[in-house]
Amino acid sequence: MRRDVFQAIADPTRRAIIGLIALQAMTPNALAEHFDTTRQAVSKHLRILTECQLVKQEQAGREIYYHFNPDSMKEVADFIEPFRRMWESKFRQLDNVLSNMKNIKK
Amino acid sequence: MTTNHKTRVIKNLQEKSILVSRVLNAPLENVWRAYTESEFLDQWWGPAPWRAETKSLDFKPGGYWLYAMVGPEGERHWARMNYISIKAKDYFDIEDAFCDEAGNMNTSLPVSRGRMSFNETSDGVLVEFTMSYATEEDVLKLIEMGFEQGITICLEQLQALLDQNKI
Repeated sequence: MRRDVFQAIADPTRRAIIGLIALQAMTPNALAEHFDTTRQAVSKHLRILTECQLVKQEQAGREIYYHFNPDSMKEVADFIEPFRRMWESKFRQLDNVLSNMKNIKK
Repeated sequence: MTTNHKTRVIKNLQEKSILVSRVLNAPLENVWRAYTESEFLDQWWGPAPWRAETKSLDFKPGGYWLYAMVGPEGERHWARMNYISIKAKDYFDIEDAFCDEAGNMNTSLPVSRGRMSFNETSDGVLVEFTMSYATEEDVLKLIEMGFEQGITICLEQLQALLDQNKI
């Protein structure tokens, strides 16, 4: 089965990894410190994220740094959908607030 | 009253901005109050199951809104919205940041600058919220955080359907 971006971000640890390296490039060791899991488990997540092209590796001396690849997200237009849903939920509540305000005559 | 107005979200990575827009069926006066008075903000600003709880709100240029996002388990994330400039019933410019309970800003998380604008149209009041960030990564970080909340909302809705024996 081909790995896709949605499969990659379905896992909460991988979403957390993306969140961290979106802020700055990190080495696997530095990343592992953020998680209550083994260095091997983090490496496996990084391998999946790399296969999906969500992250890119870059060699800097002895260290390998993982960078977030924003281009991968541009291809996934639906990635913004949950963000839209969050606002949809807020606006539905706002509709109720406004509708109640109409009933109160000042 | 229900509306079928669509919430639109447009991200622009080149300009490092996100635009959220929606049409609301209410007088401009009421929409403006719902956006600027804590009594109303507390009722809608937190996306369910989260809710916003105001500690203080001083709506004037240089003033700010200090509030907590309260989660379903009672967990609190403090945030403040700084009011930069205001043109009544037209727009107000803000700075959105994470902070502690005393309002001290946390600079390690993305700070966004934004404009809330209000326009009367034949359909209702068009509200637009443009958020601008310093870097492309900040935009993606915010989408990622929205993603987490979006997931929570999806699960809540699923649970509600399950509770009502609709699935």
